[in-house]
Amino acid sequence: MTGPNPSILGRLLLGTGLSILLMVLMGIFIVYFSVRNSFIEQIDVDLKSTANLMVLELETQGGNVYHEWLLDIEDDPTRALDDLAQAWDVRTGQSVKSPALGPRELPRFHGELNEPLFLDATIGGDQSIRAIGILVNAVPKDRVIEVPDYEIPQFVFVLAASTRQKDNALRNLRQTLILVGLGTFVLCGVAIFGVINQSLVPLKDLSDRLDAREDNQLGRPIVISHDFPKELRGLVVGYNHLLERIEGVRKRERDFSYHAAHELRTPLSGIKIVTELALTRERSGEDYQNRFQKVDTIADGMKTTVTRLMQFARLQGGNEVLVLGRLDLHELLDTAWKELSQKIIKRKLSAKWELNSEHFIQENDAELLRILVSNLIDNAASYAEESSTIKVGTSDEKKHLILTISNTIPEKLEEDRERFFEPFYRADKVRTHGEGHSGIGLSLCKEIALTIGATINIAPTDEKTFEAKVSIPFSDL
Amino acid sequence: MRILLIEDYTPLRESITEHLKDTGFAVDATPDGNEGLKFATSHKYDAIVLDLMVPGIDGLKILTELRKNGDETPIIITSALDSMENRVEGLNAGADDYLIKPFGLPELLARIQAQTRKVYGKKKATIEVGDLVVDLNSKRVTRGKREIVLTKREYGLLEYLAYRAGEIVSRQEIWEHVYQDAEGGSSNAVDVYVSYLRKKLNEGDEPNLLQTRRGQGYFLDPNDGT
Repeated sequence: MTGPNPSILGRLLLGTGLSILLMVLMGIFIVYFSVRNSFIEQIDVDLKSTANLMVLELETQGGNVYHEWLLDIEDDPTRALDDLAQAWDVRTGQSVKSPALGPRELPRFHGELNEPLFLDATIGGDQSIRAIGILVNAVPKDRVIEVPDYEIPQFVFVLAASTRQKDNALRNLRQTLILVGLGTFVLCGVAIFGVINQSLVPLKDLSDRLDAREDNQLGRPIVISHDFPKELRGLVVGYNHLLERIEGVRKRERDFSYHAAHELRTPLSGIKIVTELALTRERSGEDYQNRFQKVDTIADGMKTTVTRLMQFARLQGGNEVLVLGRLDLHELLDTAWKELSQKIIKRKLSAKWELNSEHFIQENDAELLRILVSNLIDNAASYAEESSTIKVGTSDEKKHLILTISNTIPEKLEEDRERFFEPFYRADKVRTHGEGHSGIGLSLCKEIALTIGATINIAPTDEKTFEAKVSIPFSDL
Repeated sequence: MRILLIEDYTPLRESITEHLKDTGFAVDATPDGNEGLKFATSHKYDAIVLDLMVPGIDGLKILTELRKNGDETPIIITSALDSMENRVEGLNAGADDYLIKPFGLPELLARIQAQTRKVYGKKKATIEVGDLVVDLNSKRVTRGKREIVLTKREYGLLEYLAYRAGEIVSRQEIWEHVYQDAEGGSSNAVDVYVSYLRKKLNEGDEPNLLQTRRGQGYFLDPNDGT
């Protein structure tokens, strides 16, 4: 029950079972001791009133002691058989006792003078009794001091009552209470088991409904009907919220696979059609060579896409191991720019360099930084307005090297900036095959930034300017 | 038949254009959506092959714009977007067909031919005018038991006239549907090719199938123009 999968039903049953057991035991205890105390009180009252009467019959007259109480007992055949009483002369220690005692002796005890004291005891080895003991002065019969300096004798008077009947009654009561308690416990247990089980039915229903879902219904939220238990609402709302998030992740994954397939389909289509066309008829060697060249170029583009996809998958899966080394960021920027010279010339772009960082020598992963830098510059060169200037800057800010690359764009973009980092997302839906674009450059940049502990942000700085800003923490050299 | 191809992926555009021209089509091709829409609205095409993801105006917008203006030219979408939603969206926007990349050239050709046949109300892949049979698939032409060997241009001209058999077709129409813009020349070139074609169609005392209506144009008719 307290193992790795604790049972709610088990816990509820154990908890309520223990509570009921405790309540039943307390009930039994309270009832039993109330009845017992009531019995004892009744016996004590009877003993006290009888003893008070009997001690009045311990008399003196003319220096003699008269045990009138004993005579009364002896004269009554019923009392002679039942009454258990004994009186001790304090001075002499001699005692007289009722005939029912026979050879047995009552315990001698008492409290202060005339203050009764009660005691439970056993006489004759097996008879339980309740007794009252009183220290009393014998009562002068004529209330006249007959003898000068006569000291009224003191007696310890003990009157007892057999408790056999009471003990039997209490024993029966105990048995009855135990049986009733046990019955109550079992009945309550069964009832509670039923109620708990019934209460857990919606949970089981919920579980069955989820189990029965087909593959195409997995993302569907659970509908909260009016008879749905309040206690499960939170769970269901939380579950639906989780589903929504999972669905979002799944959608992004689906989109990724979908776009990846799409990006590969178009060049694949190119390869198919170029080769089909080449095979439609006999051609010259040079013609075949030109067509194979086309196929080769397409294959190169596909290779770029696949390579970047692999890099992206490795970075996303956390499988990329950093290879740290000393690198010059300014040199990386310069190399990346030069590598794009063809595109830069074609699009008549120029660069404005503002390289002010003093921490451009970094201890970092040179290959990852190279990909990051070249993707950002390539992105700027691809989307910049023709004949415009791309600004590349570095600076130092709060123990971070800040790299900014900004370019002007032909049209204002009303896009969610986070979407720029989605794989294959294109603001203008334009493919740029053959220009080295795979559609995952910025997604790759984001993953690289995460891997090297940097942050990246892409946002318009005004209606027509777009800026990529990378913040790289200073490395210890 | 004149086809407009709007496809931004250069290897595809070039290869499809080359193949369509090889099979006797006149083709205008452009990688840009804006330019594509301009072509589509300023020329009469027998079919448009349209990629959805093109720079400028995207394919779906071009399609919507053309249909909104009442243009009923058959439009075949070619796209790598293969989901049912994409296909339904394209067809609901007014496309006549949706071809998923990668596709083969024979399939594209067959679909273009199916669409052009529909335009001219021809269900069969052969057109018969008297004893002249034009096989639209194999591009073979026979008259009686005689096979007629034609050049690409002659075949393109005959195919267009065969589609419109019985109707007078003006020089301008022939020029627009059979000739490339970039080829230069004028509609007078049509007369030259009509005369070449007539010589090949009529041999000996066979009835003249290709008639001239002075000032109006040409028509293909099995009844010797009578």
